[in-house]
Amino acid sequence: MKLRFAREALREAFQLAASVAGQRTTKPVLQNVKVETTEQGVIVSATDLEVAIRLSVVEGVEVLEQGQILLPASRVAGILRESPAGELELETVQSGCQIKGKDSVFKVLVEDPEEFPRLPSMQIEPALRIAAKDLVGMVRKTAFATAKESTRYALNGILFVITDHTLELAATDGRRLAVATLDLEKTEATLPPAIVPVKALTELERLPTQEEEAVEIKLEETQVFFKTERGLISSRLVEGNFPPHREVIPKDMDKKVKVRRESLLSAVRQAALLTTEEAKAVRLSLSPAKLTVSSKTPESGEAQVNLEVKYSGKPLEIGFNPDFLVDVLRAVEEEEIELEASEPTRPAVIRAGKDYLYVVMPLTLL
Amino acid sequence: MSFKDIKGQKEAKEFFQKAVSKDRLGFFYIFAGPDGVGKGLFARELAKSLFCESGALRPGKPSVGTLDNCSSCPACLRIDSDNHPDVNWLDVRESAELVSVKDARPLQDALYLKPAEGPFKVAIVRQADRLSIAAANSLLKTLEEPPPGALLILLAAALEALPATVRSRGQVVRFYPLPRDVVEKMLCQRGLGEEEARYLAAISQGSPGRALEIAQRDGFQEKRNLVEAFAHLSKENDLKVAEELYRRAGKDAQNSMERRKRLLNLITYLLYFYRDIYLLREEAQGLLVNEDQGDLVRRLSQRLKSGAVEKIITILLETKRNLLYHSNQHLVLAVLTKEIVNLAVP
Repeated sequence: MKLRFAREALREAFQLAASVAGQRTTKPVLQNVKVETTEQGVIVSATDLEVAIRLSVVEGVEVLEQGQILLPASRVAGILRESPAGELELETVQSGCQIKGKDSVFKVLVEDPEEFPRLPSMQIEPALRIAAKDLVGMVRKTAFATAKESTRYALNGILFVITDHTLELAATDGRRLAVATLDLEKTEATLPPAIVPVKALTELERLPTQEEEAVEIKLEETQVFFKTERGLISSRLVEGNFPPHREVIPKDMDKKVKVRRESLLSAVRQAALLTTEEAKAVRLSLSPAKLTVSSKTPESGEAQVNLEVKYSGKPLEIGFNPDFLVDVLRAVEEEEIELEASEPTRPAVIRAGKDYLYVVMPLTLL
Repeated sequence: MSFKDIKGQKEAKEFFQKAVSKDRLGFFYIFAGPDGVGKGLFARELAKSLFCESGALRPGKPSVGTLDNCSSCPACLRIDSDNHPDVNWLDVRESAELVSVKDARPLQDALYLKPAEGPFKVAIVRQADRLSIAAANSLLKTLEEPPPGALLILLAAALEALPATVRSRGQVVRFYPLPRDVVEKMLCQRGLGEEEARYLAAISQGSPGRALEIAQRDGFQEKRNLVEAFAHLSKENDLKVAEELYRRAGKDAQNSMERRKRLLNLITYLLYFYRDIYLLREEAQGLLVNEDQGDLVRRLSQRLKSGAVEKIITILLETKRNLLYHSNQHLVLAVLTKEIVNLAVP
């Protein structure tokens, strides 16, 4: 194999692939990035056996000789990073690969490409197609609510539910639930729900996309594929059943109030300043025309922040873990959110726009 | 390597053959048996048989019930090189003494992803008797409700070291030491000399793995030197021999644990040497382990006083015990040579 390329052309793709390459040392071949030539350019791929990423690079790459090669991820990423901008030449030589710059030459020992795991095809038949920024936005608004390293493995991922007219993403760690929905224009057959590991979705965010670019999604029984113009991410799905999240969304909310997101976020953060790790709770007191966020701990003191709101219902006092409020208030972008509650002992709901909903369990206030 | 290349272990082979032909493969097995008799090889071959592209066990194909693999299709090759996405190993050989929950975690994580090439997901834990109680317990949930397609295999030399809660949930498959002649033949096939193969087969107690490990460390030559030195032990050189022994065990040793392990090996060689002498003296029937240095054995057996050999063997066993404690190893060895000299040279 022989390539001539501008350093910049390959660097970004290679680094992205290298970040997916497995750090698990039990399978050393995974610490490589695979580069293979196509008719127009090259495809750069890596996998940790959970997530696989493939990026096609066309511009700035000239294929002089067809072939494929495995390159040690961190070393070659380093070479591309440290080399001065300009043209580089990569060539397979006996038992390795040679990378030549204007004033430099590297000989890198490489492994046999046959050892590399099978990679998904770059061509997929998508089940649906949505704007990349919509999907990334939905992931951002749900990913924070997933459980981290739980042994209830299903909670470590994000649930994808695709029906004939909506795409729904849901995540929960057992104490809160985030649900983002998107109306689909094109109606397709209903697919079985799938739990996608968060890692695949955070990589998705880093895929280079153009403005207004679409992502194609394909769901198989054991895998999911996301494809953009230049890249493909596939991921194995998580085993297990997602809890029936629709059932925990409360419906009989009698106390509803609209609040400016920024103000509430700021108020919660201020009140949280005087909480401690042992007593991490803020109190939201709702009374006509006023919402007070306060905290009180015997060790550190008291805080109180008042917000003006339009509210005329019954008063309510309810406690929350401030982190659970800050997470959601930071993730959504709407100017105004709606807070709904019924009793201090029952879950509350935060809505942002018509497509986003967040259920959070309250804390018992003493 | 393929299934038929696994020596012995007829019982295990028949067991899985039966399970497979009746399509009743379980999801949790414990392979119990001494180190180095083929538990790991067997687990690998079993995994290959499940994924082998020419195999009878692929889904959709009616099971013809042969437990074998081709060892040449991409699936087999990748299992052989540890690169198959659905076959995961937890190796604890080099890590700390016990496996923590955190170490065991990646293996479990892999079981909870849907299979990449499916339909199985195999997880194999080497030296499972070194799982900490907490790590073993963390497996329980998986064992209670195994994810679909999971196959978990624990390899353990000491079955009793596994908590009862784990043991009781698995099917135990026993692995046995191999006959001495089989081990000898295997070693010869690996290119070891006849004398060396015979000696290692004798002291490895039916474990080709252990025999190969000794051979790799150049153990045979080490043993020859050792026997030579102890056969010529005298009042003038005993301390020198002890020092040489200590120095040689320490060479290339990473830490005192390793040095201790090597010293224990050296003492084992000596035990076999004096065993041979004892055998000759008592005119008992049996094969000399140190046939390659038979002259020395015979000469010494005539020279030693009656009762001395038994005492030397007792001293060696005691030395072994002393080395297991935090004793001054150098001193223990000096005492050993002194005592042997006192018994052997009047």
